[in-house]
Amino acid sequence: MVHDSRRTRLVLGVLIVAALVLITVDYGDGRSPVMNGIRKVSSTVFGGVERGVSSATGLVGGSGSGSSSQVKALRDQVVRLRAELSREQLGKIDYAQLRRLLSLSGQGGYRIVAANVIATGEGYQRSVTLDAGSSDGVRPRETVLNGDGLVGEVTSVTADTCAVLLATDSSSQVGVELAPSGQLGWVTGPGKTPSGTGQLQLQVLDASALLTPGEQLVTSASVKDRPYVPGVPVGVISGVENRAGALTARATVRPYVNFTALGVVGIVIAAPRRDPRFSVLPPSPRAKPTPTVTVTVTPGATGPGTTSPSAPTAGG
Amino acid sequence: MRRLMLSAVAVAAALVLQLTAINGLRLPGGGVPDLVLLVVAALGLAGGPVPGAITGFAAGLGLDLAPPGGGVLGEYALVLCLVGWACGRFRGTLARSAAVPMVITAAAAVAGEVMIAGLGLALQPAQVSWISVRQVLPAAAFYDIAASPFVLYLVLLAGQWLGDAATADPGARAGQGRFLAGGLVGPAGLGGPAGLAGTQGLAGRQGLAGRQGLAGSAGSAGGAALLGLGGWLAGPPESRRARRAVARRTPKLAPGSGRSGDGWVGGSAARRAMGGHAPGGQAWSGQAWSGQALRGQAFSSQALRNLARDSRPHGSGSALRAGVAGSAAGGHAPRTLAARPVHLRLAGGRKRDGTVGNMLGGGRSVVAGRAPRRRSPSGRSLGGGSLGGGSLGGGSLGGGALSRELLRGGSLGGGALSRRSMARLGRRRSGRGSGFRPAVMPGGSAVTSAVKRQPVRGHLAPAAPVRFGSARFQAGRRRDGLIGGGALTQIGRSGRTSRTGRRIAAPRFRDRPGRQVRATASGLTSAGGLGPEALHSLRRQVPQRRLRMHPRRGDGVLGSPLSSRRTTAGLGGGGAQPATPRFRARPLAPGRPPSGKRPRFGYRRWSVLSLLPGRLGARSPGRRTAASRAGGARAPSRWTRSRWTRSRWTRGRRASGGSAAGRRTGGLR
Repeated sequence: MVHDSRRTRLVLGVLIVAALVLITVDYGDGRSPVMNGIRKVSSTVFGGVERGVSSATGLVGGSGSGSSSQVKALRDQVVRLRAELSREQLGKIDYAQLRRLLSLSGQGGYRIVAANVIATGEGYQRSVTLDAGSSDGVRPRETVLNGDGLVGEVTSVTADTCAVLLATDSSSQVGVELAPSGQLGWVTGPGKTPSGTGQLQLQVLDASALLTPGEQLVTSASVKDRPYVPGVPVGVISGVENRAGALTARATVRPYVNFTALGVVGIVIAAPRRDPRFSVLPPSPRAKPTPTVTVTVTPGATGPGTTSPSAPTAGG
Repeated sequence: MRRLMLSAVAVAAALVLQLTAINGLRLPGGGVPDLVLLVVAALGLAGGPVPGAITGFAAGLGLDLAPPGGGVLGEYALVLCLVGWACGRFRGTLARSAAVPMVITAAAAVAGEVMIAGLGLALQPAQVSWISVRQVLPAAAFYDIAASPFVLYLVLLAGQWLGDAATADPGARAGQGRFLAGGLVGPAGLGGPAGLAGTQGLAGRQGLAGRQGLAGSAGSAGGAALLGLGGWLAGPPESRRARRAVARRTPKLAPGSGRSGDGWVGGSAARRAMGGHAPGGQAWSGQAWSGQALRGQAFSSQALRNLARDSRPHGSGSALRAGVAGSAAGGHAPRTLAARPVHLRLAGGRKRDGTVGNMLGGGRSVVAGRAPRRRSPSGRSLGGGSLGGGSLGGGSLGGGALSRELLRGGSLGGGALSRRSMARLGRRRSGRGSGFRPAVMPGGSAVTSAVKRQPVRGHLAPAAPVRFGSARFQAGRRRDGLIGGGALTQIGRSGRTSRTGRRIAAPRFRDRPGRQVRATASGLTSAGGLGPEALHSLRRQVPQRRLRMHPRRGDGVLGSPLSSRRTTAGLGGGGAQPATPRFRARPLAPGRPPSGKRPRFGYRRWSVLSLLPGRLGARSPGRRTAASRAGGARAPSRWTRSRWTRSRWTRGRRASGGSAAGRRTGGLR
């Protein structure tokens, strides 16, 4: 144990005070111009580094493995591959993701900017960094999605990068619309969970709404389409908590997006002209939940069964 | 600078890696290891509290600011700053053991995780929920623990690598004396510390010598570190008893002291000076440094120059040169001198060692080795700024090998003590049960020119016996009376008398057979050849009670023959005299803060770090204590400057005003 000298104490004290000052300034609503400037500069710097490192390590793209063939063959290959490089820069996975992303955005009429995830946030917050920034037309509070559905919301933007708050963050709240019924509600993230992708929490405004597992969720339109554009698939109701006397009906939602394996994502830079409603939703999940619905409904058939006719009328 | 670079690079790498790769991992349990946290802990462990805190703060700030961000700014800065600081407080463990640092790193990482989670819960309740903390924190802590040894190892390895690179650079900071003198050459391929020490110096560590040599010659950083680790795992090759026996047999006064602050106390003093605690610019001069302080074979002249530059905190050229420790020779030093700068012991610098040094330095009346009440001007002058005890600590006299050259150099080189005399010395020296702590000598400074010119051959110079005796034979530092004393004893034993016909005084320490190790160790410590085992044994033997030394006249000083008969009688003759307690145990003065100064002899064995260069390797508390023990010229810390001490010092300073020596002393303190 080294005993602290006066200097040590001094330095430690100064640093701690500095940290506390930073916390205080940033905490009290933060976003003071100074802090914003600092953040912006540092984001630019670190973002650039992250970009470089990420592209260098090929973190995102699972590019193919090299074969140990002979030099001459490889040389020929290099020439050939170089020509193809511009087209085939993305790996297979990336390609698949991008294709799905494009098809989804095409269905919904979203204009997107494709981007890669280049860094993942530290600590308990669920956030990522993308390699697209203001130079690509990205602005804060824009919707981020991928081929499966809603990913999150852009929180801050630098020239070449932007930070995205994932929908699974516990501070994220997304207004949603239930697919068949049109019930309105919102979805909250679970925060950091052991599995990485936790279940979202759905709360529906109408306390008497009947929620059934298998119902699909899409984002409902935000004001001026920020932060969320309408119609982006969010998830499927996986479980219903019917609490008597609760102000809102609650359910857990399994998100479409696998948040632990984000690769190619798209940032919606222009909302669709008309609300796509439920047209973007994947068609499949209907069939599968149906048997489970019948099973679960049976024991409570007397209770909800009587109210079920009234639910649609109440809802719409 | 190198450390700064290492820290910056390591932190930046960890940060980027953490954000781009590790945070994206999908590991069971949901947590991921926090690389930045671990790197900060490791750097703190390697660097000390202040560098640790600064590194942690910077790393945390980076983590707060890096793009995905989102947390409260300053959160990580606070936590990592604390982690770095806390780890830095345990810096010393790095030199002693390999397991403890790992444990500390792991514990720090866990604590950091907990703090981060707690701060998150407190500051961002919306984003950090208790549920997720509860679920993720254990996993994260587990991964941290699992990753901590590797991170620590890599950080140390990086430090070593940088150090190796720096050895090729002549402009490298020469302050890392120990490694340069001893260990550094090993990795550089010169055959390891043992080989470097050449003669006897490290033979005391024979048990470890094989390992060291092996590690040293392994050349590659990784190899050395691995071997060190292996050595740790394998444990000491011989029994402690055997090693102690070897240590006892072996003269430890190697020509070059192996570690910083050894013997040539200047090492430590220099460090102090560099660290800004320089007692005063007057104390050091480039001459002293470049000339004598450092042994030729270990330092390039360029490095020496750098060192000289470094060691002049308030440097003001020639003015400083006066009265520099060991610089009596005017700056041209024999190459054969020991590797350490002669220490400037103008006055006993530290608490508890004050006695003689204080008195002399502070202008008090008592000169060690003289009758306390005989306040002779010559004694004053000698004490005030003349011959250094540190140099004397070399014990050259004992072996009778003191050469004119050495003397002219102003420092009596180490290593002249013969094996036999050392052995005897070891046998003879013993303290009372309360610990052997002879008075501290005023020591350290230059031999006055008159003295310097005296030819000396093995015993007292005929021409100026008084001055010479009183000057030269003062044991240099606290607890080192041994060497000076030992030599004296030899003389006394053999019935040698000074030209004045009186018996030469020997320090009076009671003979007690069977306590040799301590004595030997003590002496050797001051002289610089002390091996880790000896130190260890010393540590075990020196009681922790704090004593204040009250030198009596004739204590441990050769000069005493001149002082009084009684003294002489008490000293000389082969231990017939007895065992009067020379030192009274006294309760501490009220208000004296605890510790900080308690001798801690740190080296139990060599670990990875001992092979590392520079700051990483050289600044362990063990060595530092050795340095401060040997060195004295350390500015009193805040604690040392308690009321008691302060008043004492100030008094001394005021009183000493007149002579140059006194001024110097004042400057020192």
